[in-house]
Amino acid sequence: MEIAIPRKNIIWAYVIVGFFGLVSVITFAMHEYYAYLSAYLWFGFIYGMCLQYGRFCFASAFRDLFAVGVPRMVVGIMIATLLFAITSNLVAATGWSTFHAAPVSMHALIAGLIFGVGMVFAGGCASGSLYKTGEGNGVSLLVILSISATQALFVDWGGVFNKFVPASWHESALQKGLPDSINVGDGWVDQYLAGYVWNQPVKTYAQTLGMQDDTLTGALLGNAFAGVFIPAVIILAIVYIFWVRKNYIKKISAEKGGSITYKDHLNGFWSMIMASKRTSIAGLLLGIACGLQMFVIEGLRMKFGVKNAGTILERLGHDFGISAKGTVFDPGYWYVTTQEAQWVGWTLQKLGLNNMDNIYFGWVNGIPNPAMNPADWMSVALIGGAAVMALLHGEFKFKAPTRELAFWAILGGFFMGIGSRLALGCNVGAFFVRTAMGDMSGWLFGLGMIGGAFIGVKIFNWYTERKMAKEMAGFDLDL
Amino acid sequence: MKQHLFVIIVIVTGFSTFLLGYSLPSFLEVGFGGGDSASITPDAENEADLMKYYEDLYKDVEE
Repeated sequence: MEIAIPRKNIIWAYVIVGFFGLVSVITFAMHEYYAYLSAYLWFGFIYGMCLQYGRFCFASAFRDLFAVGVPRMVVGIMIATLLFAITSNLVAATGWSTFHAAPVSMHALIAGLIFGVGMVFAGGCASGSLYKTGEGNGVSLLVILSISATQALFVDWGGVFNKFVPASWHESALQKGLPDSINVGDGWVDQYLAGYVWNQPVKTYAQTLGMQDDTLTGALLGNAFAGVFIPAVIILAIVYIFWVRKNYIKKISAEKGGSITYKDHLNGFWSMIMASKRTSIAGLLLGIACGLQMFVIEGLRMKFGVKNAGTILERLGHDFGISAKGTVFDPGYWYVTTQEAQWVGWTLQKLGLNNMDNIYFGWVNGIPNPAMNPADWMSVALIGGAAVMALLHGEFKFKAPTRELAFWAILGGFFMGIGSRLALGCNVGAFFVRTAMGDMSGWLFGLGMIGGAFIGVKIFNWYTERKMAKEMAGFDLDL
Repeated sequence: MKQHLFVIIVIVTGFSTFLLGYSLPSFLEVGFGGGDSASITPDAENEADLMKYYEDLYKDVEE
């Protein structure tokens, strides 16, 4: 039965789409370069629609699994990763992928662990918080604000934090030959990046197996099959054995009796996968959209004769906040956290704090005006896309955070912000996209994130039980 | 509801398809599957020139 959707929801849905449409048309009329920003906008909008449709949240997935033993979302995310891997590696095989692999080392595992704890505390991962904000969730908005502020401040932390930098990192960072405007010897993250992370190898599964990333065999056999399919099937098998098998055996025994065969288990495994259809479909659509975005962005770069949006912004007369090497954050595909850090970085810069002397902003990503930042256009449109889907499904509702939820949102956002910067990405940039593209650091971050989610659930359960015990004790006293 | 969702999907697809079509000629010029071997359009700045340009920009700020 179809739910009756209030008329005002439908009007708002059209207003949101109309607004983004107008922005695209008017800016394109001003200059064709704005098509570059509009590409981010419309693919962001699609990501938002897909995320809301698939309820694509890593925090909910692992919380459901570890807290109440419901594996549906985790299974959906694994299937989505696999489907995303197929589409994005097809793009990689053409040689037009905008993806760049990240350095591989234990830092990804540790960062994932911190991020995992944070997302459980916050009740939403980086991407989940964005789409939930589009549903009118005030707690998720607080999570985004916390992630944004934490990252922007963390990348500039120096002073007393310099004492925690190993001497080898400091020396190695100084030898990188960065311009004088980047104060690489001051700041924990600067020395961590230039003195440690940049020294780590960058590897994909295809390269490790002696193949090229931009060939059909390398992309599909090396990165998609060996790098995603095999690990995903192992994880799905673990989920089946520990969370699904017991109940499935009970159900089958009650229905047909007798012993359980391997065929029964295969059927059980398949029904577990099919139960996550909605998240899987969202993953496939995300994969297609992400692949198309890579094509469009690369095509526009060729058309405008640029390699990075920084040149476009400079040509349009918006040169504030462009990095020392003339770039701004311009991934060319789906990304979440860096643009969130950038708008706070830009605000702090405008308030008089120098945020351009660190590597993250000053050398790599810049802090352009949020109104001109391509990746910010993507995030805002993502929230819009999610809002439209929520409005049309009767799932939009403003929810103000309670004081307790606000505390957890800020704390969780803080950990996610730290984890994101240590890993150079979040559950999307450091796990979903990297894993799908065969980047070996992706699964390391993922394993850390799963471990962190487990720890987060345990801490959260302990807190909830303690709180309930206190409340019950108070109830007894009143009697 | 489904009808409105369909209309919105058509609008979103329309904008995305326009952008895809707008970027397509560049691929046709260099050929699909060119990947790393293909170069950007002739009027594109040389990367070394770009770096020098931005280094000079930075010098101006310092002065």
